[in-house]
Amino acid sequence: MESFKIALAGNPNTGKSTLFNILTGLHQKTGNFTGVTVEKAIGKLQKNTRIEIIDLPGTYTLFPKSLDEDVAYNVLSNPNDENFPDYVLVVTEAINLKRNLLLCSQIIDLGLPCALAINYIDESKKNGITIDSQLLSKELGIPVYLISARTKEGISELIEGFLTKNFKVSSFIGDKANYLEDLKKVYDTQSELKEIKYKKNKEFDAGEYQRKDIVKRSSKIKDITKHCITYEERVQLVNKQRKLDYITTHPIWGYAVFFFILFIIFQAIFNLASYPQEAIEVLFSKINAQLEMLLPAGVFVDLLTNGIINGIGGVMVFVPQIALLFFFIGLLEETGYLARVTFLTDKIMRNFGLSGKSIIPLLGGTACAVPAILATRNIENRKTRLITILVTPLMSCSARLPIYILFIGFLIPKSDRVLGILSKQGIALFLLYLIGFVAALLGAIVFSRFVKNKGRNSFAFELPIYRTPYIPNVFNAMYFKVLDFIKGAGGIIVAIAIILWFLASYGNTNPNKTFSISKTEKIEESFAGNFGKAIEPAILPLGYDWKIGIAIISSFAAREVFVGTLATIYGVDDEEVSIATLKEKMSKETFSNSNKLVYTKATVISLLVFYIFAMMCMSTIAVVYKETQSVFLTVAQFFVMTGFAYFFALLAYNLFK
Amino acid sequence: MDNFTINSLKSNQKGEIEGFKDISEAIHLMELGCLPGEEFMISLRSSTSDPLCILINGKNICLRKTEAENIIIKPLS
Repeated sequence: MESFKIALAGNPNTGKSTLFNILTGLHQKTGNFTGVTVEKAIGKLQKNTRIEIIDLPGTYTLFPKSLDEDVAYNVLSNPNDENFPDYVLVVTEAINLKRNLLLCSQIIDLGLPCALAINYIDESKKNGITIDSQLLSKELGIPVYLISARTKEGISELIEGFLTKNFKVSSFIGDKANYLEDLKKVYDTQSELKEIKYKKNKEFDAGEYQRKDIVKRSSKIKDITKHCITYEERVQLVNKQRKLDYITTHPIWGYAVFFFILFIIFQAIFNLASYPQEAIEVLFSKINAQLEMLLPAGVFVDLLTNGIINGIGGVMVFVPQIALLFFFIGLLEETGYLARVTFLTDKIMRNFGLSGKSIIPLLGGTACAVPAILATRNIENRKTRLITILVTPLMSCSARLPIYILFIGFLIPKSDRVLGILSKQGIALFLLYLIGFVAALLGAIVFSRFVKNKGRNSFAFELPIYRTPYIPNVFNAMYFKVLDFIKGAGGIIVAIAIILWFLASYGNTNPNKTFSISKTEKIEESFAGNFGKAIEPAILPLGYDWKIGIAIISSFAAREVFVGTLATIYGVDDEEVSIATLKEKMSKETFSNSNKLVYTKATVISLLVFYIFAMMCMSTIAVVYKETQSVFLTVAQFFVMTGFAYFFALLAYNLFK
Repeated sequence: MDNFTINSLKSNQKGEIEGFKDISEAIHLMELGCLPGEEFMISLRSSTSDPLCILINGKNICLRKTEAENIIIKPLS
């Protein structure tokens, strides 16, 4: 039997993804649509390998205004597109069916065989909405299904319709050939997305055409729905939820609720993720120990264990936090709460060139910038999205925590308290996070000068009603995002880990000697050690010696490596690595050409400041490049952040010297 | 004649969309269902009314002030 493709198209918030997940189960693969970073989800209808289902990004019309809508338009309008479907299922919902049918009517006029599914039918019954699906089907000329993806109502009929290819070509207004041509004209004159400059076309006013098209269709849709839908006078769900919205968007209570939820989430991320993270670290060190025992010692085993496997371990160790963060974000998104946070914070964030839609990535950045940057895909405006990506790494992530803890411990004795209860160390830590947040906001102002605005400016969005989250959706999104991270950023992380291994293992000494000397000497004579000495003149004004230089270079892989490298340099053995012994050794450390102590108050503060700002994380750099697709922005971000780091560290050192 | 905008409505007072001041900025609003002839009311107001949220055809639509002010309305009872 022949195989065919069905595309799911529809407005955002119509439960399209839920339907897609139910139809395909886990028989799906994600990737990007050609040329853009919009996620593409393709799956097989349950286990049926002949029928492929494509979940198109949510769109309101076929006039694209964002990256997502651009994809939907291109797939549906171009028969040569690799994803061009044989059939289209338009997914809508009963509440405001009028608006939902606008897109449906446009797709009908493209001449594609379609069918209509009206989702959340259980909810609309509760709202007192009755739909005459037979009459609607007759009016539109295409099959109409009443379904509820969550309760699986009507799903078997829908699948039956797929198998029997129950899709119809119809016509709403105008004929096929003309409409496609008109849409192309609108696209060509309007699209700001494909770097095509606005082409002035005097005979064709694209804006006028779009408005007329919408009005013409809407008025016909109004006539049709008049006969097909009856609304009972009943208090609607959306009205019942107004009290809840009053609280969640209230200038005081709204923030109180928001911070409470954040508090719970970050507690959960820090506490829950640490167990699997420890397990992963133990697992990888055991694998390494086993390999070193089983295999003869040599360069290749060292590369395998200290280079490759350590690199993979470095990737995997992020997975628990990423998974948890995405789980919680998914949960908040599914309930509809994220939209309220956007509404609540928009005004404040706008002052910094950001938007209400930036707040979630920024907060996610305090756990790890990598998943946080992936979470910016919710932001439609390109400029806002790019700025959010660029400033998110300024939020203090969990990898900075070991550094913060080490040096705060250096500055402030543990027993120091304010008012007898508040730990001074805790306050210092809070201050460091606060500096990071303020830096992100100020950074946004700086970056907003660099980034050009392309894509739509409009903010208007739909506030979905609160719904109980559909858990399989949350897990699905989490699973595929984690996979995405491992595949995408993972490769680069492993590659850089191997390079760092090489730099730390080899040097200008006799290579045969490197395996017999102590770790401390080895690192001193390695390329990394040479680099450390080479950059000493540059970092001396900040109060650092070449040993700190090595640690800074190696921590380019990931910030937490800094503490480990210091431990190696100061000869603290792996078995007895404890912050206390390390601190003791560090406190006695002097510059090699004088008797001056290295770790003075000024140097320590300078290091803390340096790590607040410095872009020392190759995973983040990899993800920034992947998401922005811009070498310029990725490089600019690195240099601006490193520049900030150097400048403020220099300032701090000289202030406290 | 004075043009009424959304901000001149009181809470729980209904209005009807008549048109747009700058029609070229109206396409996205129209796509979201804010069409001339549709009835609506303000469902949420932030402290500065920017953004605010209108309930139209059973859907809450959030608008920034610039977007809201672009809509010409007729106050109803």
